[in-house]
Amino acid sequence: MDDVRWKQRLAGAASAELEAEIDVFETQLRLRKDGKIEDKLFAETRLRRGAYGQRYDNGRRYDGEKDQTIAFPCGDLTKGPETVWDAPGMVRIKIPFGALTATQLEVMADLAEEYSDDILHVTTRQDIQLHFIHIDDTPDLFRRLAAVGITTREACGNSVRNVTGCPVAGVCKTEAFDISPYAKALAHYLLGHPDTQDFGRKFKIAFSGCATEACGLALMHDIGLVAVTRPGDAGATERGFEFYVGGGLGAVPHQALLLDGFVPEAELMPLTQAVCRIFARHGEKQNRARARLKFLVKKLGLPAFKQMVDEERAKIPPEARWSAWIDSVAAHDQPKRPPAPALRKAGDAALDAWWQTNVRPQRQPGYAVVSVTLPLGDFTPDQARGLADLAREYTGDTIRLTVEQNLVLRWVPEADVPQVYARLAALGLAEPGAESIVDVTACPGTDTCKLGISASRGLAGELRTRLAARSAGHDEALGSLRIKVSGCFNSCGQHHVADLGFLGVQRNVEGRRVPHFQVVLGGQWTHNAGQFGLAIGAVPSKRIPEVVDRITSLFARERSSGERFGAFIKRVGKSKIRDMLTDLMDVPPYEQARELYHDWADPREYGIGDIGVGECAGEIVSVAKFGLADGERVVFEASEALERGDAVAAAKGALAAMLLAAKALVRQQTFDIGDDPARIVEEFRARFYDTKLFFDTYAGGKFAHYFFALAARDLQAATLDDAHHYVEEAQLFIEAAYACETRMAQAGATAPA
Amino acid sequence: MNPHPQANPAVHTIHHAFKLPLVGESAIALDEFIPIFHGWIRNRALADEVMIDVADYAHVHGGPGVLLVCHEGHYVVDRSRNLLGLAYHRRRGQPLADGTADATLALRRLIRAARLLADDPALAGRAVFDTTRLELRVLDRLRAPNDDAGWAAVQPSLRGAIAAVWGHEGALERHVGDPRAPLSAWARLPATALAALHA
Ligand code: SF4
Repeated sequence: MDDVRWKQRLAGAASAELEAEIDVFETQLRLRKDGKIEDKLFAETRLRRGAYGQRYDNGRRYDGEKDQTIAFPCGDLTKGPETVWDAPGMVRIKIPFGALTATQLEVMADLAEEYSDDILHVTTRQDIQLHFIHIDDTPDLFRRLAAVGITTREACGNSVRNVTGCPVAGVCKTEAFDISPYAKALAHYLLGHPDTQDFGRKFKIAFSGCATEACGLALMHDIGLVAVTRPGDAGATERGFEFYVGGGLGAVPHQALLLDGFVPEAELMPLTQAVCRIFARHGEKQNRARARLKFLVKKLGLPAFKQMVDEERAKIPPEARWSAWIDSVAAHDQPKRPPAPALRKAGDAALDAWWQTNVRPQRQPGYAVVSVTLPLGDFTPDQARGLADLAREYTGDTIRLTVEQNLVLRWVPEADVPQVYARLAALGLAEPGAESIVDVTACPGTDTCKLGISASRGLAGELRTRLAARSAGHDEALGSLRIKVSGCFNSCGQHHVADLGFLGVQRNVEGRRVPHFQVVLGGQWTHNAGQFGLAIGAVPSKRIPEVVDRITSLFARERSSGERFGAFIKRVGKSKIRDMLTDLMDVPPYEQARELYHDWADPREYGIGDIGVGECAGEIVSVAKFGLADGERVVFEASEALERGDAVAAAKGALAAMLLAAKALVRQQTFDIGDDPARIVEEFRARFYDTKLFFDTYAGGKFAHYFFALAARDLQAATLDDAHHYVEEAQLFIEAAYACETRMAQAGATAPA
Repeated sequence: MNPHPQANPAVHTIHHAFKLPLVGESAIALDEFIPIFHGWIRNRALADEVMIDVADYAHVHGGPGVLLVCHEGHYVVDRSRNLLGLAYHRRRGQPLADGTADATLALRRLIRAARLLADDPALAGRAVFDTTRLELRVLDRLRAPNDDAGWAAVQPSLRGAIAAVWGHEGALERHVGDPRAPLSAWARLPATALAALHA
């Protein structure tokens, strides 16, 4: 076989600009191999192209008994700091507002087959990710995507990430207007834009067609845009957006704030550009933990931030591109077949059940939106080709990905729904339960993510199976609950906005690590992620199904008529729920409950295995843990104060909890610490921060900064919003203290001075 | 900084993917393979592979149920195309003398892994392979497109690999299905004990 290459085969298929970009990347790849560019520089280059790291890419893996070196043949060649060249990575493919054509889906199926592990994965931000990709394969992969109009550029790194939008935009009954063309235009405008190249952190934008539903999740983004209209000239309707800034999940979630109640469509680009400029110029660059836009908005205050943005906006010279696209907004997404009302809904019980959860009528009579449930967001190349066929035959060639890791087909004539169901069933894709309690969302977690603490996908899979088995017993209120799981505090699983959220953490029990999840309650998915939940306590991973059982049973039993889950939790109170779970939080010793020392879908003993903790260290560890548990209790009380609307008590409680946790750690080194807050801060700083003992591999000293900042604040002035953040920060600080205590125990570094 | 010669493969490796059917669809649950593959990594059971991790896709209908991810290829307890079997998908590695040598290496690795499963005490003899059938695919649409020319190009090496392992060419038939799928074929082979194959 000749040594043909995709570069030659696809010459001219992509835009000249995209081809040139990939050529440059291929050259950089060669230069790195030849040792002519530094690994740090190459890492940022590949990240900006969407080529991300994956678990074990430092060439080491815990095999359940010991740490093993993965002997990749590349020797000491790296593709980033501590990132081995040959170690497989992940490629994130940005799909603006989740809209795909059949041809694009087919190409991704080919790529999954040839370079990945035969799986396409839909993320919680409407991207597609392919895993286990070798860096040497990425230029070809990028070329094949470029040939069908897809770029992975700026899918990762400190850049404008995928612009997301409601998957039902254009066909939804509650929308003000179709946001799709706006999302598309803005995504294209910002791609590679000079004003978006100098950010200290990533930047996320979301569009929503209305304020009430959840689909756009606008309020948890750096920029959230909600479609609105107002009366215009001569009886016309003027289109515009509510423009929100400074939202985000991550370690400490922030709700976006309203920058402007009506930004006309022609102002969308220049105003976004002005925000990007202010973020690039004034956003934090050194401390990654404080580098998102939300921290800048918070630091400056909304009025000052707005003034800076307005002044910047006034300086930007007009561009034709700001409005050139507006005339074409109407020409978006057309049906393939004429409308046809449903002839009958009931064919059989399975079809009925599926129809109930996976089909909803469009605004346009005679058409339906069909949701395709993808378990954990995964599907195969064969399924992808089958979906491409359906998209061509029934929908006018469009597919949309959802933030709930599913996929939707729009413009399906209602009369054709049974045929579509039959075709999906043949593909193994006719599972009911889309966007219901069984449709559990999860980030990659310990499966592939370098930062994962707990097996979010393993847990989600287990919950799916158990809940599906009971789904017949779910009434509407129970069935519509959302469960979301994140493998660590970075919150990619969006657990903060779920009814039942789970956040991966770990605990040390007599020298062994136990995977846990924090149980997070009170989040609101609707109203564009209208409210963030708070943790009520950590439970071993293996007992989370029991947690779900108890909470959902209580809800089914004790809710009053028509009461929604959020209102129920508020009425019953988190204390009662926590009390109900307390017995599950207690972890027996290893010998009595080995299963708790393993995570879901992973037979390896969790963590780094047996550690020789001596008697003396063991005793001291228990003293430290006593203090940490006290801190946990106090932070929980702070969240209760928050619920009562007592901001000052909540803020003070958050600080008190951090002080208890800090003191617990300090007492491992000196018993003579006392209760004076200033002394605790000082000792903690000297013994744990300056020495970096408290530092996390990835987060560094981030959580200690929360503590120092809170200790220096006047808490009498705390607002409810402030207090919410402080409680979140205190929870993270305590988690970090637990992790620190574990590390020290394992290193045998607990002996008091 | 010095160049890294070993990271510059000059010629490419053909991505052969072979699947040997498992007899009895329901004899073994997919999750039984997870600890076995973890054990292979722990004990370095495949001496010439750099084993990386185990991926669990049992929740995906008709997909790659459980994978042992290795540097040169993946071992997959695969349910694709309505057929449960053990597959080996070669992805990279030192290119060999020709396509036949490449294909033979991939096929031998598959057979070796099948023998390990067949002998695994945890499966207690339930991993029984059907050696009379073999699914063959070439996961490379550039060099082996799913058309007559692609088929003509790869056929000799596929035949050569089968002959090297079974000692018999069997009957090889191209599978003409979805033109978008990778080039694929089926081999019908004389019944041979797994242990008697030349792996
Ligand atoms: S939440 Fe954590 S574990 Fe999950 S994908 Fe994000 S960084 Fe990884």
